[in-house]
Amino acid sequence: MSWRSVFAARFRGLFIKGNLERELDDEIRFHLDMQAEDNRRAGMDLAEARYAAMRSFGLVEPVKESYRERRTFALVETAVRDMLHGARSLGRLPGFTIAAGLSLALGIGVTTAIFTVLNAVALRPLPYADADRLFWMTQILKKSSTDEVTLTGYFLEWRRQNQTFTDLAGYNYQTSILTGRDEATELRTAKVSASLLPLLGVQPVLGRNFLKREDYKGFDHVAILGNALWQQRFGANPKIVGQAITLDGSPFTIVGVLPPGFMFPGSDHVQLITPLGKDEAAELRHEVGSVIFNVIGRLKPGVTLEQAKADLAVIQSRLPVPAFHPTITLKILPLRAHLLGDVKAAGIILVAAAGFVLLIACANVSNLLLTRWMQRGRELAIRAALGGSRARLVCQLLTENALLGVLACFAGIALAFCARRPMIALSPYHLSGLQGLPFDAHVLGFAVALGLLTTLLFGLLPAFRVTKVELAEAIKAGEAPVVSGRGSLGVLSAIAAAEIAIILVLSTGAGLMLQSFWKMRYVSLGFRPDHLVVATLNLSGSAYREEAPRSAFIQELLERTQSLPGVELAAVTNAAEIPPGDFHATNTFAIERRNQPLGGVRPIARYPAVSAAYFAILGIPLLQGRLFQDSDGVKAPPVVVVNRALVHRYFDRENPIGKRVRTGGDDQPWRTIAGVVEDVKTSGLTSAPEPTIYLPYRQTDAPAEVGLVMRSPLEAGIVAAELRKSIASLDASQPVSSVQAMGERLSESVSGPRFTTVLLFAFAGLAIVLGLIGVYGVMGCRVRWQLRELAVRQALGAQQQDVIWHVLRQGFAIILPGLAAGLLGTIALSRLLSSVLYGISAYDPPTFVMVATGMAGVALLACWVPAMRAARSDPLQLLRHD
Amino acid sequence: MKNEPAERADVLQGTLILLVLRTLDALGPLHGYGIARRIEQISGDLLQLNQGTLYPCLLRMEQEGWVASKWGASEKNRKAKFYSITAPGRRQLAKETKDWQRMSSTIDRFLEAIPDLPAGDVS
Repeated sequence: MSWRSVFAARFRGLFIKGNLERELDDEIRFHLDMQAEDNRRAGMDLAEARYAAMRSFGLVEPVKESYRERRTFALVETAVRDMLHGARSLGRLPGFTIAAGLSLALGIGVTTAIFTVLNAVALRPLPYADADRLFWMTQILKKSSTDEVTLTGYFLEWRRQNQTFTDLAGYNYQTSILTGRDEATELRTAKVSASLLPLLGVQPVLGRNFLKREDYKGFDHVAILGNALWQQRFGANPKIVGQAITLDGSPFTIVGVLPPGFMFPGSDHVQLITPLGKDEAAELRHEVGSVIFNVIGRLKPGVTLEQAKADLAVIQSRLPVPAFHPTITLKILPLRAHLLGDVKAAGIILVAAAGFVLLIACANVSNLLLTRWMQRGRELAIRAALGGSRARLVCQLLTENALLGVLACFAGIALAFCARRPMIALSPYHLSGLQGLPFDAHVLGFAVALGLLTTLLFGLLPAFRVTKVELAEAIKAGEAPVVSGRGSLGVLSAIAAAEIAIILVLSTGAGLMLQSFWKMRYVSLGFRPDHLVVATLNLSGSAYREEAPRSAFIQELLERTQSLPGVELAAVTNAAEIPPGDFHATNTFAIERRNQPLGGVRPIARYPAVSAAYFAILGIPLLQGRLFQDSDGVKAPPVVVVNRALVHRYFDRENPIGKRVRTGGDDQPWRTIAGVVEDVKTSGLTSAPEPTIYLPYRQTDAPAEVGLVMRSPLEAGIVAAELRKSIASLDASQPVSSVQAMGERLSESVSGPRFTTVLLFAFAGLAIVLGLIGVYGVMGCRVRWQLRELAVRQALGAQQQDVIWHVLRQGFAIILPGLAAGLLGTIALSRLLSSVLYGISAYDPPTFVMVATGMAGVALLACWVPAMRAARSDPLQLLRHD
Repeated sequence: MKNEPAERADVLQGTLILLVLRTLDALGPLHGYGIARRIEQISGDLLQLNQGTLYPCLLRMEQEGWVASKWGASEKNRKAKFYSITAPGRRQLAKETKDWQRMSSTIDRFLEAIPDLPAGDVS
């Protein structure tokens, strides 16, 4: 109660300060007058009465002072005074203020911008109700290959028997072709359990969710439209529910529309969902073994992840093992970790790198302040002499910094705000359903915290340093700034060395990332990516359900493509086998005369079916034997071409040519190995090539997902237009999934590492520029300090190069410890980096040596310039100046 | 000043408020000088009041809401600031009085309970 009235009174005091001061004066004067008068009445003379009155009152000033302290908030008053003083002294040196403010703003802006991305991608809650309790789970089936999929039968059992989840839901992605309206379009769709939307806490905006019975096969011809699809394709028709559409040639009834902004729990933009549609009875009897790729569940309240794991493990252990006898393990992890797991490592590296840039900016400003305050030594000394305590001086300098910090923080936030658009354009995360980079309370809080930390960081050290005033020294010294000059120079040099260390860490990181990215994107692809255009088609329509029409379509497609204007050469293959690819080989095969029974342990390979020109188009070199010819047709003896990885792994020192292999089940024929070709990266650019068996496309089943590769000197866009026209004339209801240049395809597949690399490079560049400015500034300051000493040396006969050498030696004293510290720092941090590096060790010695040498070179240059200036100055003039 | 009394005690820290409140309660509105005079008179000039310290103390009491102040005319028709006790001030006075009495009676009891020791034993 009472503190409130005190606070209110003091708060009022802030505004009526002048009045209160006058009133106090009046009151004290009245008091003294009265006392003097009483004294006089008691018989003193005038002067004595007055004197006695003052004596009994005590010292007036301390009374006033303690009155003032109590009158209002002394701290606030001081702070306001300090701030005004700070603003004046910043205003006096606009150049300094702008330089320091800008470099801090840059540091804060960059770090905040990166944090905005990390925040949006990895830190914000997923857009589902109570998303922390959502978990993703799968079976890991291990036999000759390892598959992270869940067999539907087990999913159903988990769902029926578990005690720990409120519900489970499964979903699989697929592509479907929508026909009947406008032109045929390929859609990204998902088959989902009826329980998925309730599990996520999402309600359709129109219509209803799937019913439980629609989960069953035969009742599943219903669909819920994504909001974007509904708007674009159906004109946001509010009466859409109940209408029929044709998907892959079958009729579906629209039962609902998803809300706008709904993010499907996966990396794909799903445009439409249909029920999972499993034959549940048969699955439970394990008569069919269909799989579900994504199972998610919501934990019951109060249940821990450990309990859920134990629960599922017990259920799993009671269930029969499938006929192909895999070992089954379970994996269960938070949905957020499943969706965003990979992003985090890169995000942390980038935030750390941006933080380093900020550190350098801090170091620079710290240096600037220190040199500036050293020149203000006299001012500080006088303040100290007039009774300013050290704490008071530090406080005043810190207030000045805080002002700078606040300005920089505002500018930094503005910078980060503007950087959002380019960041989105560059980032790979637009693929993961990220709509925008929200600028929320987290981001602002982060920026403000950075600002505070920065202010302390760059302000505290110099403030402590320069307030160690040697009073007598400072005041008597004539012109030179004297505030513990030598000591402060030492601090300056230490800061410069730290900057060099940080630059080294960042540049080494950037160097490693660049090489890693280069290797990933350009080196050892195994094929020539230039002038390649790739198209994919999904033959999922009802017309192509049988193999024969599919095969005929592909044959016709290939012939038409070859005669397209501008296409030099064309070949067909499986869409999924076109480099760079994104999944691992899982198919097993058998080698003749080796004991490799079906269901036993068998070798694994990919099986792309290709037409004859494929190798020539991609420029895959033949190592041994022959390539496919047009004569390798349906009636010809079955042949295959294998890659080097397969020979290396399965034909140790044997000549593979003429050996026979069998791809797939025992109903398949033995196929003779006709040739061996060089490896191509088809399991993603960061994975080593895997064993591959190329089959002539006419000797195997025609694929449903067709890939076309074309060599053409024309732009991909021109080829695409021609191709679409040609396919439309072949079958108007068959859309083209994608047409793009191979280069674009490759870049897209490494957009994550590209983002990290580009940013890391930008940060290293910033760090080098800012850091070298810092080193240069420190050397300049050191030289200024020694001008007289150098002049004396020159007067005593030192040559120019002696002077230069003298200065450079001091430079070395900064650079060498800086490099050493940087190397240690790099080694300490490389564990973090190694998780995102490909094809290069995090301790790659050539990179370390190169970066360190380059660093030493430019740092020396930064020292050399001031050295030259010192050597060129006229010693006589300097000495006379005294 | 002429003869200072042999032993004048400084006003104990914290008791000044009690003295001021008691004075205002007994005499009604007074200006600062009046309060100071009154305290010195009542104490028979045994209390050494550093008169200046009265004013920060009055400010604090005013901020706490124990006294109210008003500018008015003094006996000699000069402008002076008059302080008067408020209702919370009376409550505070009652509380501080009780505290003080409890304290002093405790100390009294303490002094009576322990027999005098030979001077040599006290060290």
